[in-house]
Amino acid sequence: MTITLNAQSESYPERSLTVREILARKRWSFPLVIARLNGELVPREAYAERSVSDGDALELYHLVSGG
Amino acid sequence: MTREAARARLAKAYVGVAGCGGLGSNCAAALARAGVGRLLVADFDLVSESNLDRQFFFRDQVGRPKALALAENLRRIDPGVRVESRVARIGPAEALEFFSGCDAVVEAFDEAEAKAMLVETVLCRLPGTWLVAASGLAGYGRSGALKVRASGRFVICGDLESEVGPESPPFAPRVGIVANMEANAVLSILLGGGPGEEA
Repeated sequence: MTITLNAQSESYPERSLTVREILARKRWSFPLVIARLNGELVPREAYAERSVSDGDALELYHLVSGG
Repeated sequence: MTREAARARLAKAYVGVAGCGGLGSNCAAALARAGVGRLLVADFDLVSESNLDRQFFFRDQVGRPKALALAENLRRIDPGVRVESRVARIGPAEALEFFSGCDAVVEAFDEAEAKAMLVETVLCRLPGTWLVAASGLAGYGRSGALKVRASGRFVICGDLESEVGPESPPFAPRVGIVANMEANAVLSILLGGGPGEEA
């Protein structure tokens, strides 16, 4: 599948991956991430189930403390 | 758009500010100066002496609830601005109660966990409301690394990596830049219908 990840094209051999699998694949080990799939927020508890497939647009934003 | 036209439109706007620390106090000041007509500022904490290096408070306000002290300072900028304060810790229930009806909510918390809670609550449960968040503002220099990213009704300002910690404290300029990036995004939303940035 080919998806758009943070406005860049990314290809994976699998037909679909969960948000959690993509985070692991990208080595995003940050404790807090905001994920939006096709413009919809993915709640954190759904990262292990929500699947991303060909043509999807995924955005990931790292949240760090400070304010 | 003329200054008068912009102020007439901003006077009708209602913006929530979640957290009155370095981000929230400075962001709210910019919004009040710009002419946003109604602001709700919320924070559970008290002004401390160590806040004065970057937060929009004064020495004689040490010990007072930040939300009340900030409202006082905003009214000193413009007595015409309608400011409401909530002295409370904000969880999902409070976020929904305080911020329903807002055109935009500014996420100005310190803890990443609280930031995530507010982003999820507003975007999932207040569908008409914009959420402007901040992530990554510790340290000094690197102004060019501070960016604004937007997607749908979600906007995030900062470098997304400079976490505040014992070895990387926040300083007034970088906190102020990000606070004003948040205020700038709010103005773009209120006046231009969108954040004026791409993801």
